[in-house]
Order: sequence, then C-alpha cells, then structure tokens
Amino acid sequence: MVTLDHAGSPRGMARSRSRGVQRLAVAVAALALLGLFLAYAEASLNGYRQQLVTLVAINAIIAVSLTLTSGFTGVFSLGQIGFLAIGAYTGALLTIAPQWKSEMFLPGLPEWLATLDLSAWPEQAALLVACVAGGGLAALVAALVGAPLMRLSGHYVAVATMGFLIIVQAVAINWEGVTRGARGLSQIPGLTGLWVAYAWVVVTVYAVWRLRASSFGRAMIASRENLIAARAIGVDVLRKRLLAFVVGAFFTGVAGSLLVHQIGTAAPSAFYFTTTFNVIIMVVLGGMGSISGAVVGATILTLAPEYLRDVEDGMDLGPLSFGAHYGLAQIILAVGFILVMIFRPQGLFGDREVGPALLGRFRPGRRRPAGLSPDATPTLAPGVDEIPADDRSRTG
Amino acid sequence: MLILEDVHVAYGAIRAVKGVSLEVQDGELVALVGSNGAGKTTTLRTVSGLFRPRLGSIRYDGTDLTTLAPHEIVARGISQSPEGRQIFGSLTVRENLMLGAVRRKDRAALGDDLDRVFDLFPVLKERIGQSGGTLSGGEQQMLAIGRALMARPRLLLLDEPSLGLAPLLVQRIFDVVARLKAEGVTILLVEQNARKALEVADRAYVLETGRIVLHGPARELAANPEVERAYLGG
Amino acid sequence: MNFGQFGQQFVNGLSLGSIYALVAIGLAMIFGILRLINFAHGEVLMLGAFATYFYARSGLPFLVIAVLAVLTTVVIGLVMERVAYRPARGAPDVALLLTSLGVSIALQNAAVLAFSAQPKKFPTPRLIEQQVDLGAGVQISGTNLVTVGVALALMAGLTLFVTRTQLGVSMRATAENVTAAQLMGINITTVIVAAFVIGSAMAGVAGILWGARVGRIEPLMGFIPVLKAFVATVIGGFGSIPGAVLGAYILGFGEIFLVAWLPDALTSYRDAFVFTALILVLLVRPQGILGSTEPEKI
Repeated sequence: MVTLDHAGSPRGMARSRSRGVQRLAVAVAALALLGLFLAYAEASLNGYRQQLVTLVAINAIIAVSLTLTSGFTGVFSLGQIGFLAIGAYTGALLTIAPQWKSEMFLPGLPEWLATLDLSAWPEQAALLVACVAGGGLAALVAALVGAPLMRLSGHYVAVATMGFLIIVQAVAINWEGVTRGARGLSQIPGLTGLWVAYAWVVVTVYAVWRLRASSFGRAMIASRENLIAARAIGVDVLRKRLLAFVVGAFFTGVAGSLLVHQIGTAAPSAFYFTTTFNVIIMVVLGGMGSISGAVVGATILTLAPEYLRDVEDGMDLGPLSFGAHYGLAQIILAVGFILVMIFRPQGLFGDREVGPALLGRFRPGRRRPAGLSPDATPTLAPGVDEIPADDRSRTG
Repeated sequence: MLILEDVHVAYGAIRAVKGVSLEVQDGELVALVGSNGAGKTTTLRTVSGLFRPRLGSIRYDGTDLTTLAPHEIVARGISQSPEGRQIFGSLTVRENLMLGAVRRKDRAALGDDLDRVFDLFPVLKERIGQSGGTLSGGEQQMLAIGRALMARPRLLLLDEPSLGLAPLLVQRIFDVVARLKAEGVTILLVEQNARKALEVADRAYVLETGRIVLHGPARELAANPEVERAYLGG
Repeated sequence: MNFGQFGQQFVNGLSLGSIYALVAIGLAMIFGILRLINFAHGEVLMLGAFATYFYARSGLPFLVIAVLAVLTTVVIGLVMERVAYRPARGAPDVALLLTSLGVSIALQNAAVLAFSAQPKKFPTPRLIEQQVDLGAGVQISGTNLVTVGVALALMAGLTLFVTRTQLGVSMRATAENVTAAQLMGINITTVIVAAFVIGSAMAGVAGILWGARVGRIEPLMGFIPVLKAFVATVIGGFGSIPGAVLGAYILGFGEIFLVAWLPDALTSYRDAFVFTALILVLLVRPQGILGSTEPEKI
C-alpha cells in the first residue's frame, strides 16, 4: 500500500517542513549523544570492551543492510554473509603487508596486489580504500548474481541466495592461492577503531533511511506488500529490488572489511551459516523492516553471548550443577529466537522505529507487513492455512 | 437449521463481511445472491470454518460452529462445493469422490452413494480412473458437487456452481440442484447468476458490500424492481 | 574409466542418490503440506545416526537397534512438530523457514553439548561392510547394496501408502490444495503429523545409511545431506515427491560422476558446482522438472 505524501497541500508542506526541522534536530542530538558515548568508551573502557563496542557497530551495519534487502523488499536473502566474506577478503588482501603476503604463500595473487603496500599510507586512508573496495566488489558481485535472482521470490530467493553463500564458501576454502584456504589470512593490520566503525554505521543508517524514505523506498515496500498493486502503479519492481540488493551488499562488504581489520584474521568458517543465522536473528528480532530495530537486534545479539558465556563456563542452579558447556549460548539464542517467531513473528518492532515520539513517528507504509503480522491475516481456525484456496492453486 | 447472526469477517484491515444474518431451515433451498466481491464466498467459507468471524455467531442445530475446525464442521454434516471447483487435479475421479466421504463412519454405504453420484452425473462414471485435472470445466464442476454429496450432507453449501460454464451446462447444474432439493437436501446456494438462483430457491438474501440489503421469498425478490435492475439485468 | 570402474561408480551414484532421496522425500512431504522448508530435517538424520551409535552399545542385533533408532527419530520429529512448528502454523512462510533454522541450530548445538564435536566411529555391522563381486570386474560394497535395497523398499512402501490408504490419499490432496482438503473434512493436523512421522522415519534410516557410508558420525553431519536433498527437491519441483526422488538420483549420479571426471584440482569445488546447478535450475525452470504449480514469480 502506498501512502500519499502530505506535501502536496500547503498545510502538509508546512507540516513536513517543521517535521524536517524536528528530524534534523533529532539527528544532530543523536549524533552528539553517539559522539559522547564513543568518547566515553574510548576513555574509560578497556581494550576488550572497546572491541566489543566496535563489533556492535559492525554487526549493526550488516543487520541494517539485511534490513534493506529483506525487510523492505520482501526478498529474503540467506546469502548476505557471502558479501561479508567478499568484503573481508578483498579488504584484507589490500592491506596485508607485502612481506606477510609472500610469507603466507599466495601464488594466486596478481603481481600488483602481491606487492601492494598500503602501510606507508595514513591508516584511515588505507582502511577507507579497503572498505570501499570490499564493498564495491561485493556490490559488483551482487549486481551480477542479483540480476537473475531478483526475478524469483519467496522460498526461491532464500534457496538461491543460500546457494550463493555455499559457492562463496567453497571458493574461500578451495582457492588456496588467494585465500589460503581453510587456514585463512592473518596478519591483517588492526585499522578498525571505534570511531570509524560508528562513522560507517551512521553512513549506512543514513543511506538506508534515505532510500526507504524516498519514493523509491515506498515503492519497494509497496512491492513487498502487494506485488500486483505495485506493478499496477508502474513500479519497476525488479530494478528496485536489485538496487536494494546491491546497496545492501555494498555495506555488508564494507562491514566485512571493517571486521577483518578489527580481528586481524579472515577465515572461511567465520563467513558461514552460524554467522548467517546470527545476523538473521538480529534483523528478525528487531523487526524485519525497522532500521533501529536492526541496530537494537545487533546490539543485543553481540552483547548477549558475552553474558551467556558465563553460563557456558559453568554455573550452579539450585541442586543442578552445570559444568562448562560450549554451545549452550547458541542454544539459548536459538530457542529464544523460535519463541520470538512463534509469539511475535513481526519482531520486536515490526516496521516501526524505536522511540516514535523522538523520531517524529516515522513509519513507512504505515501498515505492518502484510505477511508478518498475526492480525493482518484473516483470523483463522486452528490448522488453517493462511492462503485462500484460489491463491494456492492459481498462483502464476 | 443454520443460523448466522451478525457475522463480521475481516482480512486484516479489509472487512469483507459486515454483519450478515441469515438462516436456512431444514429442507429449504436458500440462495445468497449479489455481485462480485459482495462477500458471498467469504460468508460460505466462514460457515465451513475456513475463516473465523471477528464478531457474531454461527449455529447449526444448536451447535456453535465458530469454534470448530473445518473437518469438525464437515463431520457435523455440512459439506461444501467450493467456488472455482477446487478439485484435486492430480487425483483420480474416484479418489476425489472418496475424499468427499473422508468423515463418513458408515463406510459400507459408500457404494450406494457412489452410485447416486453417477446417477446424477453419468459422465463421472466414464471418467472414474482419469485424473481430475484432465476433466473439462463442466465435468470438474460435476465432480466438485458429487464430491460434496459423498459426505451425505445434511446441509450442502454450493458456491457459484454455474460460474464459467456454457449455458447448456448451467441448465444441467441447476436441474441437479432442483433435483437435490426435491430429494430433501438442505442447500445454501451462492450465485452470481441471480435469475437462475431465484428460479430454484425458496428464499433468497441479497448481499451488497458485505451486508444483507434484501431478503424474502425468492419469487418476490425476482419480481422486485430494484433486484431486477441491479441483478437481473432488466 | 573401464567398465568395472563405471559399474562401481554407477552403483555408488545410485547409493548416494538413494540416501538423498530418503531425505528429500521428507523435505518434499513437509514442504508440500506446510510450505515449510524444514532445515532441521538434517538434525533428525544426525540424531538417527547417534541413536544407532548409542543403542549399539547394548549388544542387541543391528536390525533391532536400527528399528529403535528410527522410532527415536519419529519421536523427535513429532516433538519438533508439536513444539516448534504447530504454534507457528499460519505464520508467513519466512517465519516458518526461520523457525526451522532456529530448531536446526538449537539441535546441532545440543548435540555438540551432549555428544561432543569429536567424530565417532559408526557401528556398521561387519556383514554389510564386505565387498560383493558382481563379475565383469564390478565390485560393489555391501553398504551400497543395502542402501539401494532399503531405499527402494521404503519408496515402494510409500507409494503403496499414498495410493492405497485414505490417509495417504488425504496427504496428496492436502499437498495439492489445503483449503479444498479442509472442505472435504480432512484433518490437516493429522496429515501434518503423518508427514512428520514418515519424513522423520526416512531421515532416521538415511542417518543410519549415511553413517554406514561415511563410517563416522558427528553433530554437524546432517547439514550437507539436507542441503543436497533440498537441492534435489528444487530440481524435481518443490513439494513433488516423485520429483524429489528423481532430483535426488540426478544429484547422486551427477556428484559421483562429476568427481570422477573433474580434474583433481576442481573436485573440492564439488559443492559449488552442485549449487551453481541449483541456481541455474531455479532460473531456467523454477518449478523444477516435475513441478506443476508455478512458483510465485514476478
């Protein structure tokens, strides 16, 4: 459903102008708060905690990107982490010092890349190049892969994008001359800091927010909620979906580059289903169409394991005594996720943004996603499929 | 006796049925007519338990149907021949018919019922081993009605049985409906073809955008100038 | 490749395809009725293998152990349906899909916790480990022979079930059109439960056969077979059981011969080839080879 803009009428114009001012004020205030927080974090948190806060930022970028691809367009991608891997390896290969590259023996690298030395550059310039290149390559691959895939929908996109992830994984493991196989790359300089990570969060959130607020974004949401109606009003659904897919891939690639420049290594195992699942939980937990929801989801999912780690290390619960249990945290997350899916399938926030009063009640499309809200479907008797019979047998 | 009282049904924000009340006495043939999108099919599907009303009650012989699952409603003797036929294209004609009797306890009597259906629609007997998808539109409609009859219903819901059929077949179908009525089957018939429906029905309800706007004996409604203009193309 | 090698590879492909088919049948059944891609199906397979491993310590005959293990997977499937999928029924497809991902991850990690990630030696009976000489230089392993035999027998049984019994016909009807099935008086819950029982039993058998084939078992072992079975169902047509079986054998043969013919340097890309094929199939014929209903497409 497309909502009409109020800006057409004089009153609407005045309202939207005052809203614009309000939003700007909110944005400035939010940035100032973020700045204060980062300054505090930098000054008083220990190195480990700072890394954790940085990791929140990186996960937020991935989650917000996935929100763009999946939440707005309704095309559910299980392959997002493939783009993370592309960004990660690209960024790493650009910044690893030449002597380490030759030490790790990467005969598959072209001469210029094998000898490329960015260590003389200012650190942040090198990181910027690594991020943009990583994101750019991810976007390029997304454009190539996405062009045919965006034609599919529903389960089929999920399946095909998962296939893409598996292919990326196979390449990462087997292209030893470039990726060093399962051992992965190491000696990646630690260029990612708090400030740059959050700068990218701001850029990502701003870009996704603008995209969504634009007529383009409304059209995307329209195509998600009602394909036929969207086509009827002349929305070129395929191109818009593809653009969302490519932009999402770009920022995920950037996040990949940021990630490896924080942890110092890039190994295939970090870019597979566990990560995919974690990012999906972040997005779904927050509500598939909510940017702030994705950020909150990323924050919870990044920090929760830290607390759950205590659980894994062993604890006493009344008469029950648990030893160290690796994997328990993941189980708790998965079970929690299932509960969310059952009791609140639209996620914690649905399409809405956190603090509606603060953000001037920005709610694109106004309605909850048709599919994701329990009361949007007709109230069905137990055991009833949600699809009216005609749709099931006459699709296509 | 089926009684709907102030039934409301909505799909999300779209309210399809806004307070429908109607009743079908035992042995009656009641028609529910109205234009496309008036909420006729939604009403029937709600009776069958596919949708739950937001508001209102549906009672059949004193039992509240709104809390029952579709299969429990079939078990209480209400079967439906749905709009668009909805036969199982990959199943044979026999399998389709036998599925209509899935809730029947008296398996021994099924042979007789099969004969009765073949008596009504001899062509189905010829097609018994064919898959439903290979039947023509008219044959599929017959299969859909025959399948509903296999439940040996006390109340038969017919949703647009004449939709998309050639005039000759439309007449065939209505002949069968009249015959079923003569045999004492209680029928609630949903039709866009108001003229035909009012010909065979005892009483009728006119549904417009989710509300009953008129009801009464079928003959009176057929003579009503308003109905004539809006639904009978007069 | 001489005739003997070809024969061996052929049987090998047939055997691999049989395992994929057993897994794919369950996936296709559940998808056909619930529109759910049950990622956790692989964990049922894994738990079947582990149940066999633990029951084997009792010293009972292997056949008894296998039956007990399959019963165990049936119970697991039933619990899964009741606890995770039934409450989520009626939710949109994506929510169901994600729920099954959650179940899958939870079970995987639970298995790591309970059994440790260390691979264990599967207690394959010595009898079926022997090589059988078919003459003409064709030697095949007893495991492959048993795999093919068991799979074919189960599929024959399934065919009888879905054509000769009322529940079986109801299942086919429900897979084709849920609404119409409900109007017939078919209890959808019964049908779904039946699909989980049959699917889980087949996955349990597949787990035992996979354990015998690979020789060792570990908590993440279900992942690859289920992905492959999944590809098979897509190739054959989502929700079509004959399609899933056909897709499974195409995949089994394809994989074996791909490995046999590819230069060594590329064999490790096997999975990449499989999924490239999957994406191509999706693009060219999204409804699969035997699928009849058009998927949503824009």
